[in-house]
Amino acid sequence: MKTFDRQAMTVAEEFVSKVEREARSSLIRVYAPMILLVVMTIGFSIYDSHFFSMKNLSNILGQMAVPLTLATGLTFVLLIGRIDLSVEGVMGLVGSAIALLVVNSRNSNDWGIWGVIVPIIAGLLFGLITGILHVRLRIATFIITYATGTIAAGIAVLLYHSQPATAKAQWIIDASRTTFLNIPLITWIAVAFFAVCCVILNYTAFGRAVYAIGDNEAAARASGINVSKVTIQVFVLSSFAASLAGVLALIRLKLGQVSLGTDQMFPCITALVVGGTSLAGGKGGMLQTMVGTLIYMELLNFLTIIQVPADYKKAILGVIIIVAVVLTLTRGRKTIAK
Amino acid sequence: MQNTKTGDFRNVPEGESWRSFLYRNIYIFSAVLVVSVFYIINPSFLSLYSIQNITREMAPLLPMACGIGFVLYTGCIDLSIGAVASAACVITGLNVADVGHWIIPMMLAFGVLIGIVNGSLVSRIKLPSFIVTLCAQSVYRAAAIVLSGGGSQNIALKQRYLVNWMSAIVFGLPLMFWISLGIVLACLIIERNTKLGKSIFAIGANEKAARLAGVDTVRTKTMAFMLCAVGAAIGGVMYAYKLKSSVPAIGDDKFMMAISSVALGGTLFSGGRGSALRTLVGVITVISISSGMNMAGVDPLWNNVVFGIVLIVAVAINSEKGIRDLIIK
Repeated sequence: MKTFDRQAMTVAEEFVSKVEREARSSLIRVYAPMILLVVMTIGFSIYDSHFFSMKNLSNILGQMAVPLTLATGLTFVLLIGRIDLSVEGVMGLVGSAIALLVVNSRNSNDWGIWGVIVPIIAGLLFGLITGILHVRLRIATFIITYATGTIAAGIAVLLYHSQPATAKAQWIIDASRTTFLNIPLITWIAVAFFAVCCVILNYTAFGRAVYAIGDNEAAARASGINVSKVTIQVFVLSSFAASLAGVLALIRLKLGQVSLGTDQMFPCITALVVGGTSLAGGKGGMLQTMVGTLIYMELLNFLTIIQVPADYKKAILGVIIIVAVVLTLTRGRKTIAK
Repeated sequence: MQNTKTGDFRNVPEGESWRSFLYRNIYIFSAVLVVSVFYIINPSFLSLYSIQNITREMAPLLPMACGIGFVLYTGCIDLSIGAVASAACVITGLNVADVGHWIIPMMLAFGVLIGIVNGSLVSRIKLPSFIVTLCAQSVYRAAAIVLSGGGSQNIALKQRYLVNWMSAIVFGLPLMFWISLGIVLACLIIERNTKLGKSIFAIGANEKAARLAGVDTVRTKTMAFMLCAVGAAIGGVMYAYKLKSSVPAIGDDKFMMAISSVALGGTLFSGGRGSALRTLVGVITVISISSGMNMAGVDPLWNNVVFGIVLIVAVAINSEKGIRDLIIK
């Protein structure tokens, strides 16, 4: 009897210590990025006193609109353990289409507000199609989103036929010049979208379902969550974020071409992973997304200040993401995305 | 259907329905369909000149497609092959004049090195393969652009004799196509007759079971990534020899074509099924589509849209719809 007791104690103790260990590691995962952000800010400010100047900070915030919007949408996708590689293509498509539909340099279209709504609906369609194909045909998301992203980018190039249009609508020019508290309007739009998504993720049944699916899909299904429906909704949300990012990028650059979206997704995944979102799903949140995006923007800004060429920056980011994934990976998870 | 899950497709289940027969052999039907459609549109599609052109286009894609096949058999993915091919193409184009033919073994070593790095990150540290290779893609793409200085550079006319032999016509077809066929044959032998091949398929079918059965999963996966990167490097060298210049953007859309051809061949993306022979048929289909569209006067801008759709359709036909409780991410 005594041996049995001791064994039971050992098992219980083991369990307690395991839970404590997990709690500790999740604490590290949440706070390490914040500490990194603070250390980076202080370090960069010491290295170059201009870094913490008002001008540079508003510069960083001005460039943050597109990455923050994309990262917000991708947070949901990563939380359910999927990935969306199509955001670049959808962004390029929406941006190019809007530039062709509003007052522009190439044709005499003037659709007004519909020139924005129609392309965004097209972008949403891509998310819907991706989600349905993934759920119904059971194709892995990285391959299907790679394909839909390529199709979207291909359609964008076909729309403007190698001669991108410059948007000349008055509201676009106004929007790009408007600032509030020295921060551009597009950043405020991105922050508003971020805030709405915070509420969706934390205070709705949909948000809870996203976490449940990411944590254990089989259990989520068994407890009555419509996994297919939530998955499709997540992809539609992500494509909406990509469409919005396309609009913001167009407001910023005004030239509607597919390269609006090129090389935008990869930094966002870097930002998310550095912030502590797990690629296996279930771990992460809006706070981590914000912290990760800020870390990424500061790093990018710093690399520009010390004059690292653009191509090297991409390679450096590639190495950083691998290191970050290694550090945030939960060991021994069975259902890791391939 | 169970029997068709083994690596080769020789075990035909008894009394199979016409539907599963169609699905199993759809790669041949699609190739025949594509070729005959383009033949009807333009009868010169099957002229000797056109076939020489098509085989010349096929040659660099074959090693890349067969290489990524090995990674797909294990159930992983390698998104970096296009970038690796670009980097190999740039390095070859810039250095072939100085080093001569030694560039080929050097590029093979380059491929081995890349494969070991990717494979170790996936198999030893257990990172998701698409994220590792996505990062690798950005690193090697940057390397290709930095090394080439941003644009393509021709190999000097004086040095052209070093690379011209690859495009020579032997037995009616370009020499580089025969070399690629040799590579397909080698892949076929690795798949069917070696312990490595069997281990790769075993891991793809059920990794845990393979490990319990004594397969060294870490080493096998690393080897699969190595074969893949070597294939991509060979593809890059062939592009440099074929175009007689270093083109940093050559590989950008080649990943799409390589993966589409493997998918058209019926290789499962969840692993465990496929064959180099079927990939060969897939490559024929893909190159016929791109060359045929070109000959029919379709705007090349359509390529991305068409191959995106081809990829989705090919993967959808071959996906495992039967197993409902399998969680596919």
